[in-house]
Amino acid sequence: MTVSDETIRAEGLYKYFSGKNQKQPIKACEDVNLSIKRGKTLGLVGESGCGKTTVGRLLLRLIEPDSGTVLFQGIDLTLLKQREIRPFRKHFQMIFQESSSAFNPRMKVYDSLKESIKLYTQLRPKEIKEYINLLISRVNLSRGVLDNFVGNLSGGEVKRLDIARTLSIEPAFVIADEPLALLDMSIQSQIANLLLDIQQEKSISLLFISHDLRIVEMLSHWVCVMYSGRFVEYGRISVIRERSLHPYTRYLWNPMELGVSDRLPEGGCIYKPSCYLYQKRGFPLICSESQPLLIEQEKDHFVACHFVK
Amino acid sequence: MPMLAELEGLKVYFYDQGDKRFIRACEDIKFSIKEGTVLGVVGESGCGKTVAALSMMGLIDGEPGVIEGRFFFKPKQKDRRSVMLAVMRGSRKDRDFRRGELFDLFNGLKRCVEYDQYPYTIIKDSERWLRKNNRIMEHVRGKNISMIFQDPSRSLNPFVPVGIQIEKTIKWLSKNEKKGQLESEVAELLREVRIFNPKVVMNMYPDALSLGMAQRVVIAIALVSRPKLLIADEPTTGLDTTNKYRIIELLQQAMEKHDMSLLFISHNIGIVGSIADDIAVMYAGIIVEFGSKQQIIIAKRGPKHPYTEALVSSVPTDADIKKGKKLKVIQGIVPNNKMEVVGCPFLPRCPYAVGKIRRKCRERCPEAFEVTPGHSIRCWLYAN
Amino acid sequence: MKRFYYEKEMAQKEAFYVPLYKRASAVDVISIGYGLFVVTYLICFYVIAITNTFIKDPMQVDIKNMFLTPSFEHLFGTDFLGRDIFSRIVKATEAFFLPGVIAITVSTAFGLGFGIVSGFYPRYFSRGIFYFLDIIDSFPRVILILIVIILFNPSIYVIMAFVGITSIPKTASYIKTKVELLKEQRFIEACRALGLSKRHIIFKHVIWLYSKSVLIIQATLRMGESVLIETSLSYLGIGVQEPVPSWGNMVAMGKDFFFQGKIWLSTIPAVMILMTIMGLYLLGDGLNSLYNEKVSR
Repeated sequence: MTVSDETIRAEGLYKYFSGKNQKQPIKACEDVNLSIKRGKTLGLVGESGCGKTTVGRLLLRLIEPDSGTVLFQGIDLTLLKQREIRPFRKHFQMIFQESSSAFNPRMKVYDSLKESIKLYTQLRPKEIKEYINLLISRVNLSRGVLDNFVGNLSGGEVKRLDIARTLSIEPAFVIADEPLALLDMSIQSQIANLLLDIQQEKSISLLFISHDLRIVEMLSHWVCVMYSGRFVEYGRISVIRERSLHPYTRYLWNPMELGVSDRLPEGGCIYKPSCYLYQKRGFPLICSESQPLLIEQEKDHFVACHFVK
Repeated sequence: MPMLAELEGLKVYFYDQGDKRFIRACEDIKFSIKEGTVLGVVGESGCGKTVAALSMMGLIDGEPGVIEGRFFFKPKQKDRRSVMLAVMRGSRKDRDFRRGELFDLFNGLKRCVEYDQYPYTIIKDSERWLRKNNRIMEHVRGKNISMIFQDPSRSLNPFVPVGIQIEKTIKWLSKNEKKGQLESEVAELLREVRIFNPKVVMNMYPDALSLGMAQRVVIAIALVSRPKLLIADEPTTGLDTTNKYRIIELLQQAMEKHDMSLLFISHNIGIVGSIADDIAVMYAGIIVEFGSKQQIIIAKRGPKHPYTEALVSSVPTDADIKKGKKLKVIQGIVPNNKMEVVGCPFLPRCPYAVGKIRRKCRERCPEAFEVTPGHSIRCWLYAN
Repeated sequence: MKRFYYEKEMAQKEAFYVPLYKRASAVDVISIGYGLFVVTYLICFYVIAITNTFIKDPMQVDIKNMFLTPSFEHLFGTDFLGRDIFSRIVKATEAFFLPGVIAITVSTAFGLGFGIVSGFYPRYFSRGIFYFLDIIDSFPRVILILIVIILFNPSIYVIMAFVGITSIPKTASYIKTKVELLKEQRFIEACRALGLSKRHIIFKHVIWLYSKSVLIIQATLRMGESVLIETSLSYLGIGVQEPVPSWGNMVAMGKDFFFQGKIWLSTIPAVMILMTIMGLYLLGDGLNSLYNEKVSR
């Protein structure tokens, strides 16, 4: 694996949030390592509040990591200042969960799209108009939306606009932060297919964040499963589909059969209280003593559990 | 299985003062719930599923419009007498107010704004129907039918600790209870909805709870009266996969324990399929298909409404995923409820409306055709 | 109808951005219309006054024509020295127009600067700036103006600059709350992710699209306030001095002849003051309810 083959690589990212009233800082994510190759999709699965979105923002440096490095095509982004990072923002973009709030509600759609295009290209106004029309037709929208305010459009339309805005500056790496979560059932599949098409067409590296393992499975080449701020399983999708080893991943595959409790762990493995393996094996000591590390069990398959052989 | 509730010909229209015209929310809604079963209602946002639920509770007021229909319900043995009296008092001469054990709660309910055809000015909108309806509903609402509203964190009072909110509901139902007894009762209720540390949660304010926790508390409040029917309006929306299934499990257990029926509203057909016995699919204010789970979801072949077919196939199956197929797509957009509907509302997105049948679709909205017993479809494809 | 389906979204964002002209009510239209009329005649008067055209010389003493009642020749009559009252009223706009603009400029410029800096960098600047602004705010304004008059010559420009300074805290706090609210919004984050410069975000998104209404409303209220302060100081005899006309000293001079039946001498400038201040405040209020900002005087 050469450096140029990788679009983005994160090593040992840690982030804690400290509130004013909390004595202890809140753990957002711990020991996050990932890498995405050119044109590939990495799916990030987990419950809400487990730090998925934080990982996405850390990769874009919208928030500062406490420690760790983010390499974008070999350039260490964490060493750059915010001002120096701005030229690189052309290359990585984000599609937001609530697209309707990611557009300025007092701006017409056309102006919102124009803003970013104007920043990175030297097109004349007429050319910009043509370019925007092209983008709009690429995401299957009619030109009528351009004269509207965002509040007057439906959820699916705004999501398409968000994708169009992302496409407009032709990034190499895109983070899609739960893009399907707030949409209607019949619209979800439209958007998912659109994302897949565009990703293959422009060979974009995609980080697809979702809480639905099934949709992630459809769209991505690699999957990592996150629980309470840590990666518990990470691997190629074909491998995970056949042999998911961590109890949490197995739970996500069929949530009706295996129960999960609400209790928080006091120490040791983060998944201990809800783990069915822990109960099955008769509450072994090792689980309450140490947090298992992400270890490569077989080729392209990493699992963080004491009992996986 | 005996019937618990039957809704017939529910029609709800709202009057839009800005555009000076009526907007269709529900048209000719008809479904029935058997005792101890789950009815799932599926539909996209704005298709009228919430309005149908609210009108069953008698909670639609305020705005002028049209509301009509019949709602037969079998109350608890305890409340039977009072409900019967209330229904009889308000009964209209031209209608029978009972059907066996069931009483028509919408008896006498015909709220109709009188209006000109053009330019649609309101002439008369009396408040009398509302009082009449409330007189009946006060024996039913909260005691026989409970409801869980869409956003749990917004249906709790943010300034009152959770425990006190539950206590108040208990007090409202039975007046003479001692304080110690109340507290233990609250704790028991919370334990029933799988909150393991009720003493701590009781003193918490709603904004300190996570969404899953808040949903449980709301369910606990709804269960206080041991209702016959629980209406759950999108209880799993906004929750993640883990919590979703835990809430569903919890609802199922509560149903078994209290011999309760459930009206489960959701936009996710996968979730509805995992809990419901009967399913009603709604689209743009009408029920396009009603039938058992077997008929609608599990049966691969057989008559189905095009919309249901598309919805079911848009959920990826294991076989699809292994082959690496793309998701199947329903073309077109969700209809805006401001659009005027002529003919079949699904026509613009329907792949089957070609050739001869298309004219029929455009002209008139199909009635519900019963293809097999207990399975009705509103589509011209299945016209007898 | 919307209540059922869009309730959630309504709370979170401006779900439907309605163009201004569609949400204006009749009262708004009337008050804004009247306010604009006042602004128009103020600007016309000022332009006439500085170019000195179309009117008779306001300083021209004409003993023969004292106390003339309003007629076609002298539109508002003449005063006790036979000077044309209309041209004096027009000329008197010079006394408060430019100073008022100075007050607006001072309060807007500094308020905007302080507000944005303390809103965007709360950790470093907010506390210091707002202590300073609180100190300014805690001085009674009239006393401050009197001190200024004692210390300097009673120049109206200096006074108005101080009026501007004393209203910095209000503008700054409005802008600060705006910035703090907007900073958390997802679309600002989206702008940052797109790589737009901070300057662009501040000027385009924060100031132009969200704060301009506050600034306009503040400016109209500030103008009304400066008219009020200038005229009342002149009335007391510490503002503009005779023979230079000001609406305040015209009322003061004319009041001696009020009970002799020559009521137009003081009434006409007084009515002018009333109309102007009322117009400016109504304009502010109308814009306030139109933009749905909650700006107080």
